[in-house]
Amino acid sequence: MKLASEITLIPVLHGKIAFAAHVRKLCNSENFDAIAIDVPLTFEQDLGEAVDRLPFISALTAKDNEDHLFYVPIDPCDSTIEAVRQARQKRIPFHCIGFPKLSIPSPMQGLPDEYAINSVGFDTFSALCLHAAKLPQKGSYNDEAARFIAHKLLQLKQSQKNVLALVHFRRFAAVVKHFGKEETYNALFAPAPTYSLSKFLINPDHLYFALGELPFVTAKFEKERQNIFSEPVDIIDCIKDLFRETRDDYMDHSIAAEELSPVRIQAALSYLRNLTVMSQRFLPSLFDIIEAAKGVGGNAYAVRILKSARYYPFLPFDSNERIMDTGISNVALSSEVGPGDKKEIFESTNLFRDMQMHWKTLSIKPDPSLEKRKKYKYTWNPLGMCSHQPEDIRIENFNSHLRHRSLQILSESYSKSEKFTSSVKDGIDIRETLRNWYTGDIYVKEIPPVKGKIDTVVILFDENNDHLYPHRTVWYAEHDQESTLTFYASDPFEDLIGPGVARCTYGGLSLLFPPRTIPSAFEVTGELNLTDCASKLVAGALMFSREKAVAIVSAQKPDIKKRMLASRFKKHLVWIPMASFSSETLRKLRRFHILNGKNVRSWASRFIGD
Amino acid sequence: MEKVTIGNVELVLSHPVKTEMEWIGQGEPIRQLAACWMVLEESDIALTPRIIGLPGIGKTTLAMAAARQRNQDVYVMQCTSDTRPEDLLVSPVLSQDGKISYHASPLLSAAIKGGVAILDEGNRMSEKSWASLAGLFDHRRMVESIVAGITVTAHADFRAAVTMNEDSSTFEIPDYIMSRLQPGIRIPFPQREDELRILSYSLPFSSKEVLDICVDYLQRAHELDLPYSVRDGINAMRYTLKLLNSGEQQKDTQSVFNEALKQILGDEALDLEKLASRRKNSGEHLPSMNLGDFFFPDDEDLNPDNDEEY
Repeated sequence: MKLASEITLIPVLHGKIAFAAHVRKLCNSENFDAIAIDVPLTFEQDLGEAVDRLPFISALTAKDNEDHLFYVPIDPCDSTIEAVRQARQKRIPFHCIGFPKLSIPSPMQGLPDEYAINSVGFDTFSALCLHAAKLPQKGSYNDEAARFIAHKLLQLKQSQKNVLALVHFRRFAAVVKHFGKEETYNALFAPAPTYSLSKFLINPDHLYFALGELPFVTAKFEKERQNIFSEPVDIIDCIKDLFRETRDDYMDHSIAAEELSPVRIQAALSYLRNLTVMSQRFLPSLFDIIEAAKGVGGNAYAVRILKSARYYPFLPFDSNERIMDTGISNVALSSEVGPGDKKEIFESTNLFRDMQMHWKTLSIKPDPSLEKRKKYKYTWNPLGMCSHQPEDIRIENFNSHLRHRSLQILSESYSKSEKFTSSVKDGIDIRETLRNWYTGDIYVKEIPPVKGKIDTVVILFDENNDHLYPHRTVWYAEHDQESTLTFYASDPFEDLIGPGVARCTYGGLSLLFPPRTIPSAFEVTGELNLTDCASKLVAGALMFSREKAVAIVSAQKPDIKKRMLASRFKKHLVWIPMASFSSETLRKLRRFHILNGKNVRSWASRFIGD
Repeated sequence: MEKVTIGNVELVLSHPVKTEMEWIGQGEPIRQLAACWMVLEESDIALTPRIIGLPGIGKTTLAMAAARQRNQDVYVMQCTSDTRPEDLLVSPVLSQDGKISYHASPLLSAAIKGGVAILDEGNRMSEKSWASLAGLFDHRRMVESIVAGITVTAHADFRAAVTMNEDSSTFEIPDYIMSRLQPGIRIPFPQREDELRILSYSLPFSSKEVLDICVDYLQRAHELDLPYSVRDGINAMRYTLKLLNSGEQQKDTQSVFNEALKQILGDEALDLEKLASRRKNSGEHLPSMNLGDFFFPDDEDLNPDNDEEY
């Protein structure tokens, strides 16, 4: 709105792209002489320099006498920061006209979602917000602050011809009220208290708590600024990108990537949309984003989504600045620069946070920090290794399922058809009867009982990348219902996820049931001139199996080398295609955990995700 | 018996379940289930979620309570490894007059009437049975019965959920079915107050002493990540009350409860102290592993999960 012919006044909320984009549009469509922003005057001195450092995000802090810390994050999605950027680009002056006395702002309530601007337009949305925000009480902090802003605007009116002024919704109506009063011009204000001012770089991992939008969305907005041909950022599209890009970046876990088909991503987004609608919002919260990702892709995908959501790519390479760790209502400040510095905790207020931040606990199994990994590695006892029991049960169930299925395959392969004479045997063979329809004979099927059993099952997940699986060993059964397990897997020390808990991936395994004590297949097969782990595993299985048939689950049918190996041991391989199992089943079976002793079993499940 | 005629074939429908299930505490899973079943416009389709959790944690109860919130009839289909495709859709039955009558399964009845179908223990079914439902759970929203020779298009209000146990096999569910059973809703263990409310709702005649003993036990077990659920607690309480009323009055309630636990869950259920001491001996401080631990893995002061206020 035009407050006077010299002043264009617009109401804003902090940290929201919709307002920043509106300010940018306004600055590009009109030539302003100066820009005035509702940011406390206290921060004016350092603000320009901090904004010039963008895209690196820092915070300007002001500590009062009671050690309460107020801070202003230099958020690229904030409309006031955007206004300062525009002023710096167009080489026009900017003025902080906010009340210099700092106070903890009360959270805004009952405001419509700013995404509605896209549908109803900026003016209608602002009218709705102003209606919800109401006029501050006379004599209240916001009323006094509004009087100060009006006073400053009246001063600016004298010196500038066309000023763009950004005022927060909390004070907007009161500013308009005070601007029209004569006493505002001559108003006197008590001197502001003194604050200890500083600037810090915000810890990139904690940007979520400092910024108004997700760091991922903030990065997209920043990238849009850098490319003049790019489309305007749409937050909903950004959320879609978040799900898609995270899935595409799953390079290290190719199995998990396969199962996250476009249909699943679509299901996740529909689910997220519904959760958002149920919360009566247009834009999803981080909690719902993670919940939707977890529902569709499990813990691993949810953790990756979380990593992507908080990721902000613009980081200074070599900064000597002090870092500020940011929480919801407190911050940790380092007293000196450098690693290992001591941190001091302060109660804090983010002056750019308009809504109250609600924290809900969500059970998620994050990967441990580098520091913790080192600690877990250091405390690992090399003499104690055992399995995680729920995974034992899962693999044993799968083993018995495979043995049952391979017996079925065997019996089907031995079935034969013959002309009906006196007995229908195992039923009429319709196919054979139809084939010989012209003869008028009826054919019956006979499925003979399979002689022998299957005691060994080999599962080959990966036959070609032995270098990824240096951990090759045999695990003997703890009781008579467990198989003897021979496997090659990834190095447990590479992925320690909890105290005494290592995460591994099978390359291949063989299960011998009933269990027996056998030597390692990777050692005793040395004389057979076998080079790869898969062949050694198969050779070991053929060597120690007491039955004629050995079941093998693999992506490809056993090659000639393996079949010759089988005939050498006077046995044969029953192939079950890997594709007959769902990728989710295979993913769950393939990922297993090694525990550092039986004691660890009592807490391992706390660190092991699904 | 209600009958409908589809394509000249008369189908006898199953009855909806009449129980009045109430969901106590834990608002998040029921919100998630309601979100899955929400439809925003005509072309939108409802999701069919998997409800996952340990046995006895309340998966079926959750689905029934969510259906009740929507004021819809509930049809429960118990799935086993022997469930055949025709069991899921239409079964031919020889009627009294010697003719074949076609009986619609609870699932198909829900699809026809616009109710909520709960496929209980769905992971036990074979791929062959699942394959017959593929069309019902995607955009086609239709299913074909070979036995009756009819094609049924689901009612717009038809909703479904599948409950799955973590312990039983899921080997036979192929990817194309899994992609239709999304998302997964996991039910965690309830908080102390909720657990107390559930137990007193299920056993309103129980004494406070038995209730407290049981809740203490279950909460301790949850802390130690043991798979003992509310259902185990209810069974133990029920048995304790029966023992107390049948001549075991001279023993104290705690030892009767322990005896009941031992008989229901086995000897190892009484070893909580041993487990706890094992943890203690390891000297490890075990974090809660929640969302806050992701942002502040090494910093407990800033971690909002460590702050009761939030």
